[in-house]
Amino acid sequence: MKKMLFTAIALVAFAGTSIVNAKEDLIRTKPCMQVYMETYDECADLGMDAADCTSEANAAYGECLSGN
Amino acid sequence: MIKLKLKFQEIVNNLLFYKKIIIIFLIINSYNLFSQNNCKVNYTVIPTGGSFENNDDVKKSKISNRFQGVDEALKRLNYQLIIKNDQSYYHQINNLGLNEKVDKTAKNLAGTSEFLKKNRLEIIKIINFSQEVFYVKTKLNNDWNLINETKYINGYLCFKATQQKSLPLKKEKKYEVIAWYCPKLPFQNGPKEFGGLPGLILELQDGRITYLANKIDLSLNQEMTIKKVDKKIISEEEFNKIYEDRMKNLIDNLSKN
Repeated sequence: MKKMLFTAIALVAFAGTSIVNAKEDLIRTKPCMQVYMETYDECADLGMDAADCTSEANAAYGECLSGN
Repeated sequence: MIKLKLKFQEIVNNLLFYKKIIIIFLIINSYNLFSQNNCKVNYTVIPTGGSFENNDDVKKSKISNRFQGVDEALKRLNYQLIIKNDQSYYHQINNLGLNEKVDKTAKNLAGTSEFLKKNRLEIIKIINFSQEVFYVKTKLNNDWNLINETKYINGYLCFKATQQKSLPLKKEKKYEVIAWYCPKLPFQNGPKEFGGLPGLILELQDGRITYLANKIDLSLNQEMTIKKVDKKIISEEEFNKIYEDRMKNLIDNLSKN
């Protein structure tokens, strides 16, 4: 969540200075958004609650962003 | 004749004395029995069926690679249930991660929330979400089916009970929770939000995760602290609203172009 928030804030700030770069960044982050959603949904299927699914999805998102 | 009478009187006096001693002993003993209101139980975590990683549904999952090594990580987790009179506090007690990533996944699977039970009916789930702690009032599902099956856990005779539960985020999907409770331990309590059985739950099979009591401390004089409620308690509906709003804002921000 911390990383997502950071990314969200960074995107907004970045768009103000360079829209082109922000769009490129968004394209880079979108597959990771998909990873986030997919992880969240699979965790929900495995019986985890909202906070734990979010935590796991957030970790997956962070790993995706950092290329792991 | 007088001597015989005196001897008889002496025997009667002795019997009365021993009777008094026996009564005092019984009173002390029953006091101990009924004042047995405190208990500390440690639960270890094991994957239900022996393995989480090798479970068919998990293997089919799109994120199965996230669960590599999670079986061992689950076994490193420990939870503690502290019961003091009518109140109890259930929480994770160790944080010994060898591999941070897989340990975090194991914790998420076994549950990171803590539970405060203020009495048999009032359960507060302490949720850490979005870097904030929420105290959420949770409902007790007391709809147990008592089954005539027994087994021994840690030398205690336990009885089986089951109940139906919905997945937290997919209410339409139901599964069976299995609890093994011990009537000899007169605490209507157990791991997580579970309890309400005529004895302490020593084993709880909650979906793919099983919580097993490995240490039961009934000593009366032990120091035990129940976590204090130091924040506003909110309802599940209020928490769900906060959760949805925060998630929506986050995803909106990330999807903006």
